[in-house]
This record gives sequence, C-alpha cells and structure tokens, in this order.
Amino acid sequence: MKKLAVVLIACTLFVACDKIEGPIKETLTDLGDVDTTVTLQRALLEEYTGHKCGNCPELGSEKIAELDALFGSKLVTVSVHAGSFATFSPTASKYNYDFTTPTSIALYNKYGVQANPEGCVSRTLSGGKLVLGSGAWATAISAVLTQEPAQRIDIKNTFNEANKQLTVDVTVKYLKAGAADDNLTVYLVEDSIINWQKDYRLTNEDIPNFVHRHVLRGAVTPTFGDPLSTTAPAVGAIIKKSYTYTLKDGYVPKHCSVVAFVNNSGTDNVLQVAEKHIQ
Amino acid sequence: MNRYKTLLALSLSLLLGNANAQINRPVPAIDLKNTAGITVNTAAITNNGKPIIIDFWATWCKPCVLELNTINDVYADWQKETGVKIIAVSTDDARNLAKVAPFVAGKAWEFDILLDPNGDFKRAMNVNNIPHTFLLNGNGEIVWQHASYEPGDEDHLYELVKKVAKGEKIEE
Amino acid sequence: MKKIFVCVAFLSIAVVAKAQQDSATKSAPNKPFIQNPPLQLPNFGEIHGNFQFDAQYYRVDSLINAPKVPEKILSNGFLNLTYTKDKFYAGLRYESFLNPLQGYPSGFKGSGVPHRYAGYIADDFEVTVGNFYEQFGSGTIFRAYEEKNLGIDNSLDGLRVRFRPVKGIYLKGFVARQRSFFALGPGIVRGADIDFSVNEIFTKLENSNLRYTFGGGFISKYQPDNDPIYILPENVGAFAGRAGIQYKKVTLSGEYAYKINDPSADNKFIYKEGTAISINAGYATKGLGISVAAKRIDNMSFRSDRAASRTDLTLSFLPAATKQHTYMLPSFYPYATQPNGELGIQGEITYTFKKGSLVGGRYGTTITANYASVWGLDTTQVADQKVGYTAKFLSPGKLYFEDKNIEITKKITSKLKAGYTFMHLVYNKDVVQGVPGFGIVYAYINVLDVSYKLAKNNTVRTELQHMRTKQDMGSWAAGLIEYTIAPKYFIAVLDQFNYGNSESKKQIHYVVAQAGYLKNTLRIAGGYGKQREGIICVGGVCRNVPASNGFTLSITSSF
Repeated sequence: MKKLAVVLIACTLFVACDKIEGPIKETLTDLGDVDTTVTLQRALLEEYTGHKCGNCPELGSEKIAELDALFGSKLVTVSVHAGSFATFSPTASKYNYDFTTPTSIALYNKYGVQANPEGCVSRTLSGGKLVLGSGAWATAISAVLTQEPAQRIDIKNTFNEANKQLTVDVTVKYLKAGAADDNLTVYLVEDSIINWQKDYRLTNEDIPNFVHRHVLRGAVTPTFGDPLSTTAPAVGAIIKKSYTYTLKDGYVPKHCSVVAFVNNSGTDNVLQVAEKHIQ
Repeated sequence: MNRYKTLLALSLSLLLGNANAQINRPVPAIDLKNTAGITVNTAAITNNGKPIIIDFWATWCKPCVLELNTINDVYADWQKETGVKIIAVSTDDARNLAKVAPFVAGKAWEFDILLDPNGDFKRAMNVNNIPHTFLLNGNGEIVWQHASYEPGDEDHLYELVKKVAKGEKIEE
Repeated sequence: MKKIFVCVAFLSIAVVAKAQQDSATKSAPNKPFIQNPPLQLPNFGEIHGNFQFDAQYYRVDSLINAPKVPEKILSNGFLNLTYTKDKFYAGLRYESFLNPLQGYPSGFKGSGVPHRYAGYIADDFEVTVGNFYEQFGSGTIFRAYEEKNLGIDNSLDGLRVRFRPVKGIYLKGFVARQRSFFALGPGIVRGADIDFSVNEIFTKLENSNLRYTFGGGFISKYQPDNDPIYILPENVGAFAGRAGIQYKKVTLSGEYAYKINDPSADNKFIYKEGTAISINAGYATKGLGISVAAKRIDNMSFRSDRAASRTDLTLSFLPAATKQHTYMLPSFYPYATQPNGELGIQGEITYTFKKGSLVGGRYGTTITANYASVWGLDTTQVADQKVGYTAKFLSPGKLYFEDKNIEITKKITSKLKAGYTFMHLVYNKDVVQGVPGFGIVYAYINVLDVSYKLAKNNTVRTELQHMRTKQDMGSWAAGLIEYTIAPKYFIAVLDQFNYGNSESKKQIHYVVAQAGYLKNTLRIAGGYGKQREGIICVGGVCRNVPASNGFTLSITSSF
C-alpha cells in the first residue's frame, strides 16, 4: 500500500496517469435501421489467419464478432488464409483442407505478414503501420469511418446455378474527384465453412467443426485490381464494370458474397467498399 | 562556402576509407561505471603517458574471452616492459551485467573493467561487433584499431604497443 | 533554464555553421586543405563511422523447408557517421533493407535515414536532440536500444537532457516518440531518472569499503484512446526504484518496478497493474566469482503502443535470467522472458584453479557452473477484465525452463587449449515459443572445443557437439573445423546433423562453409550452405528464422 502511495504521488507529481476506476467499456449507441439511400462510408478489414493458428479464434474471430456488433454493415471483413498457419496435408486426418488461394498468398506476401492474427484496415496506415494486431483494429476502423465517402459502390450479382457462372456488375459513382490510378478490386468470399481450427484455450486444441467466416475464395478482378479509368474521374462520374467468375466445386453459393472496393494503386489505400450476396 | 567544400571533401575522403585518413583521434567523452559503481569519463582515461588498450568484450562472447584470457597470461610481462594498461569494456546488458564482476574475478583477470550496458561508448567508438580493440598512445589518442580476434593477433598487438611505448608512429 | 535555451538554440545551428564559427575563434590557418597524411583537423572536428552489409542469395529447398524468396537476393545494410567537435556532436545512420533478410521484421522494407541526432556535452550537462538511446536502471520499465542482429531498434526521437548538479547525482529526462522501422510509433513517451552514487557525493566516503548507490526512474506514455469499444487509459505510467550496496568483495542490489493499468495486446486488454522485482548478489575475489539472482515478473510488458506486438515499440526490457549460450547446439532452445508472468532464479560460480596446483596444471584450469530455473506464476483467472487474474507472490506455477550447465576450460600446453561443456535442459516449448501442443523438451548436450596452434599465426580449432533428446526434432550432432591465419584469413566448415529425426527424410546434414578476410577493422566474409530453421528470442518474443539454402556475404568496417 505504501509503495502504491509512493507511485501515485510520483505519478501525479510528474505527469498524469489515467487509472480507470469506472466501467471499462464505452457506452454504445444503437445503430438503428440503416438508410440504404444514403451512401455510407465503409471500412474493409482483411484479417490474416490460418486454421493452425491457435490464437486466432480468441484474438481474431471473436474480435471480429465484437466489431460486427459495433459497426454493423459499415464493416466488411475478408479473412485471408495463407502462410505457415494455413499449411495443410490432404492425406492427414486433421487440417487437410486447403483454405489458401493464389490471391491470399499474393496478399500475404505483398504486405509482409509475419504473425497471425493480424489485419489491414482499408489498407490504410494506422499509427504508422499497415498490418495491425487485432487490438488496433477498432481504432483504425473508427478512423476510416470518420471520412466522407469518396464513392458509392453498387453491386449486382447474377448467378447461374447450372454452370455455376457468376456475373458481377459493379457501378462506381464518384462523390469526390478521383485519381487516374484508382482501381476496382472484386473478391469472392464464402461464409460459414465448417472445418478444423486450432484453439489454444481448449484442453483439446483441435476443433473439428469450427465455423470459418468470410473466407477469401479468389479474386474476380486481378488481385490488386482493375483500372477504373485512364483519366481522373470527376465528381459525379459513374463507371460501370462487368466481370464473370466461375465458382469452384464445393463452394456453397448461398454462403458466397462479392466484395468490391475502390483502391488507389499509388497509395494502396482502399477508399470505399461494398458487399453483396450472390443469391 | 570554401570551408563547406573542404568539410565535404574531407568527409568523402574519410568515407571512402582513405588509408591516409589515419589520424590521432581523441576518445569520445562518455560516462561509464566501473565494477565498483564509480563513474568514469572515457575522455579522461590516462596512463601516465604510457599506452592504453581499450578492448570491447562481453561475458557471452567466446572470441572475446579467448583474447582476454590469452592476454591475461602475458599481461604482467607486457606491463613490466611497456607500462601498458588494458581497459576491458564489457558490453553485457542487464541480462548479464551483475555477472560481469564475478566472472572477471573468477577468471583471475587483472584488467580494469568498465561497463557499457546500453552500448553508448560502443556506438561513440563506431564498434560494429565485438571483440574490437583500440590502441591509445601516451596522450590518450587512438592510433590503431582492430576488429575480431584470431589466435596470434595478440603478438601483433604487442609489437604495436612496444612501438607506441617508444613514441614511434604506427603506419597501418 | 537559460542554459538549456542557449544550448537548444546553439544546436539548431547546422554542423557546418558550427564548424565555421569555431574556426573563426581559433587561430587556425584560414585556407582550405586536403593534405596527405596525417590529416590534422584542428578546425573541423572528427568524422568517424562504421558500416555493415549482409546479403544472402536464397535457393528454394523444400526438404529443409526453405521458402521461395521472390527477390532471390535480400540484404540489410547501414552506415553510421558520427561527428564530434569539442563539446558538440552529431551523427546519422543510413539504413537500407532491400528487402530485409529472412527472419527480420518485414517493416524494415526500404531505405532511409531513420536515425540522426545532434548534441552538446559539457562537464555537468548534456543535451541531445533527434534520435537517442537511453536506459533507466536495469531497463525494467525503460530501455531504448539497438540489437542489429535481431532487427531491434527502438530508439527515441525527441529531446533529452542529462544533468549533474553535484558530483555523484545524475539526473536525466526526455520527451520523445519511439522509432518504428522507418516511421515513429503513435505514443509520446516522457521519462525522468535520478541516480545517487553516495560515495561520490560525500568525499570522505570516497575510499570507504562500503559503497551505496540508489536511484529511481519514472516513465509515462501518452496514446490517444480512439477505441470505440473500450475506455482505455491514455496516460500510462510506470515507476522503478533501485538500490545497491557493496562491501569489499560482496555486492547486493535490487530493483522494484510498478506499472499502472495498461490494457494492451500483450495482456489481452486486462486492466491489471504490473510489477517486477529482481535481486542480485555477488561475490568476487581473485580466482573465484559467485553470483545469484532471483526475479519475479507480473504483467510487465510495456510498450509505447498498446496494440504493438513482437519486438515493436518496447519500453520495458526484460531479458531472460538464464545463461546466454553461443555454441550451436546449446543455443538451440533459448529461453525468452514471459512478460505476462514468471518467477526465476539463477546462480553461477566461476573458479580458476591456480597454475601449478593439482587441477590447475601448468597453466591453470577454469570451471564455470551455472543453474537457472524459471516457472510461471501460480495464477487464478478472474472473469472481470479489470482484474484479469490474481497471482500468488512466491508460489511457482508451471516449469518453463531449467538449465544446468558446467564448462571447463584448460590450457594444456602452450599450443593446445581445450574446453568442455555439459548441459541439461528442460524447455517448455509450448510456453516459450507460444505454440501449445508440443510439450516439454528434455535435452542433454555435450560440447568439446579444442584448438591447436600449428605455427605462430596458424591455429586450427574444432568443435564437437552432441544433443540427445527424444522430443521435438530428436537428437543432433554437430561439428566445426576452423583454420585461422592471423591476422588476415579464416576458413571454417560446420555441419549440423539431425540424425535423430523420426522422419528419415528429415535426417539432414546442414553444412555451411565460410571464409573471410580481415584487415584492421575491415571484415569480409562469404559463405555457402544450408541454415537450419532457428529461433531468436528477445524480451519474451521469439522470432522464427526460416531455414535457408544459399550464399551469404557480409562486410563490416569502421573508421
């Protein structure tokens, strides 16, 4: 107690310490109904994870669930499986499923991810860093969401059940002046894939039926995007793009959705993002 | 402006590792503690006009310990003949700092020990890796330095110490 | 205070301007000169520096798990330049990581001048602006340092003042932000420290057998709370007090550190306070040295960015309280401090048998024995995030690490030297590497190191090493032959053989050959071979260095 007193005196004498005495959680405001006619600024969270990452359920998946509850449709999440925690052996009894894709490996390498779970928020620097630990996601998302939306993105999906062909029509409307090096990137994401996942908190760490959410399945456009225009789009410019993509065997169409975002190929920043189910 | 150019040219010549740039350089002033807890300023290190060797080492560094062990065996002879003083600067950080004095005692080393736990002196002397040895003349100026240790290096070092003790110049 | 302003104003003058100003005040020849040796620089001060370059060419080797490196060649390099002129100093470091070598943080990617500083040092006063390194006490709450080989550089960028009001009292304080690769971290760090060296203060105690030192430091970091979910403390303070006493051959020292609530990624955002206690005792007399230490750490990870991980933006320096091994196999399973909580003890004795004694023989024999043990804390989880957990004070929890080792070194003849090391290791891989599910590794290691002087400058040295273990990758054998021609050349071949691996295709020889040229401070070394996957641990964080196969080149120089 005496030591504590000394410390507190030292604290107050020198510089303030913030001892949190009250509740530790912010008071949340009700999100209410989202007005679809208004263009919302959205943030893209690209989570780097792997089925052998035993910290990922706690620090990744549960954190994202918490953020989903907070930000609702303003947050679009893509879980990128690659790296040493995503290795698999098809002949093994556990972890025999390949969650990786060429797109996820390309992203993993480009951003130099070295640990899991980590993530990029709209590929924007936060606190000087691009790849953030999960404790920094909420702050980074809040920062992105305070910006005025630069574009409005509308997605129209047409899915042909017979040949599994998906046609994606994306309309980008510029609400602010754009740049000539703006790209449109479109990914396919599948939700609720049930498979193995490691969780260090459990006595038996291997969970056979973990629900893997918003897993990156592939890129409809090139991995780092398709140029929107050769000239800088003016305010009010509307650019339409159309792509086709064939779903691989095993993908469950009703769980699949398309994530489309505008990213500047110079700064790498994601300016606006939208998501829509394919069915 | 002329001086600016000169400075630039000079720094360039030094940068390019011009062997001619061998100058008698003073020891930078850094406050270090010795094993008795007394603060010693490195610029004030003297040895009554006799040569001084400053050797950067650490308890975990095998070649450093080998070098100091080897020199310790002949240190009494060196001192008798040239009056040279060896200052062994331990770069051990907080992990091993408290072990330095017992380690030195246990090895029965006779050197003066200074502690540089955060590398302030090491940086000021532009030391990359240890062991790194500096030879100072009687005025406390650095006249020669050498990085790393190979068995036999101590003989060469002693040749140079003898030269410095006689007041001769070192041309290498 | 006026003095400070004068100094700060003074510092804002560029290096060149300073050189000019001084040259005018002295009776120096006012002519430009570039002369032949020796260069006398009475007016311009001293420029020195050091340089290092490491490069590796990577080949894919799926057998040893060496990943594909798209760039094929990666390199790290830097050049330091320091300038001193009387009481003024300045310097900078250019760094280039194109792209960083495997195993280094990828954040270093790029080139630039992330380190530059200037300062003024008088007898009792020093001010530094720009980048600087600093440490309070043993670094428990604060150490800004660089460890090039581990890719650590958490220097501060700001303003620092050191002041000595009277002999024996040392004050220092700073305000700065911390370097994060080629940028700065989000937090502002403020600190002050005072150190009393009692025997220096009172001249009549100067030659006393009894010596006292004590001191204390305080660190506060500010990081805004923009988190929409939690109310986070924006100002987090930590305090550490230390004391030391020495009587003749015996020393005793201790440190206590306390940190207020600091929810962070490291402690999974709990609001518990942190504490650390360490005690060291030593005995040193010619031929015998004994040291014992005990340490307890509880929730003491402290960074200038609460979201940072790995080796990024650390303020606290919590080194492992275990022996630092450097031979290949003894350093296979290194311990790393667990900043969230541990309890450890260590003891070491070094004894030299005198020349001419029975054990000492003609040249003497030295024996070093070391014991270290580290446990987790005995904790109880508490659902309330404000508390996190409770821990008993002196009750050890799970065993994390134990190391018993003995080293004997002996000069047998004037040409022959030998050293033998035995080590028994218990390594909780789950905890130390943060990968639960592997269990505990028990290993027995023997090392024989023999060197023989063939001629005055030619020495051959061999190492034979063996590690017996049933766990993890199984047993290893290793050997090294090194031939040195002083003072200029060396060549070495080493092999690490994982003969005990349960998978026969992984019973691989990792052979590396190296050769080098040395001249004064220049060292150029090249190598070729297979490097096994290894672990480098710092401050509780282990970094995995992937296996590699290829050429290496290393150049260092200082001038």
